[in-house]
Amino acid sequence: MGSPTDGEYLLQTMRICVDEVFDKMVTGFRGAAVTAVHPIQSRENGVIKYSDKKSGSCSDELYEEAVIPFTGDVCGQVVLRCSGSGAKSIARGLLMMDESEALGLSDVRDALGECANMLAGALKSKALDPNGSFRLGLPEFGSPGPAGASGGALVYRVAEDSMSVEVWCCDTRRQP
Amino acid sequence: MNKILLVDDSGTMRKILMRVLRQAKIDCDGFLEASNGAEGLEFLNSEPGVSLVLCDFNMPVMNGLEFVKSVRAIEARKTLPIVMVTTEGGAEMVKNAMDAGASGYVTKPFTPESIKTALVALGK
Repeated sequence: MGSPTDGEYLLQTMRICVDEVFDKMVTGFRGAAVTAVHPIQSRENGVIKYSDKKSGSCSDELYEEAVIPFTGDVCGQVVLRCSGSGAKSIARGLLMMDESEALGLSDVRDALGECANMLAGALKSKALDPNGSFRLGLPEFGSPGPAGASGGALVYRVAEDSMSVEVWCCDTRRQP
Repeated sequence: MNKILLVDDSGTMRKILMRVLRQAKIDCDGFLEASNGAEGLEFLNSEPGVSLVLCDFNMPVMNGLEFVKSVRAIEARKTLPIVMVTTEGGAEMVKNAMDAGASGYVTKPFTPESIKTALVALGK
């Protein structure tokens, strides 16, 4: 059993959670391939740079993000971050909408928040709850991200779209 | 009347549930949508035809657990089927919900079959 402070363990578990959530709930993202597991190198003006040990750093403009905070024996965040088209694809996949149906920004954000919520819930069940008492927060948008936190990202590409699923743990421990 | 009340702060999830329930051909005259437990209670007080509730756990204003407890405190609603549909899949959370009076529990992410199975178990 891994520890909730072990970033590698959390990311490995999150990879299973992504498969589960997207297989069951998001039409069209089935079979999405993880390109690599990257620690985040930097974030600036919405451009996230992931360091890649094999091929050097790569970057993606991933600026639509939904954040689910968790608190407990360890606190942290699950972040689902997408390109604009990736966010729309996830929303359409969740709602089983085709390209011809209109989709507003609020719909896209709500869908992204619900997707992040399911990812965080799955991670909580699999990796956090067995190690203590944890509580999930409600979805947040446009969060600056935790400062000084350890974590990493799973980066996915599907056709033209990109998304990352990040898990961050803060060093500061606090009770829920 | 035979209405289904959906209590979830995500409009996306309410739409997904409506689609799943329609596809499963669950007997229903229409849907009522509430974005938290307090709104859900208002519907139950104002709408006489609610025969089933699907409810999230984590919501603003009033969460799902408080909602279930509040509903069960109403004499006329003690047997109203309430199915929790939530990301909270831990055994303790499930026990808390069932102890509070929930009739069923489905963890997100779900398949349409898991929703249907939970409702069939309630005679729906």
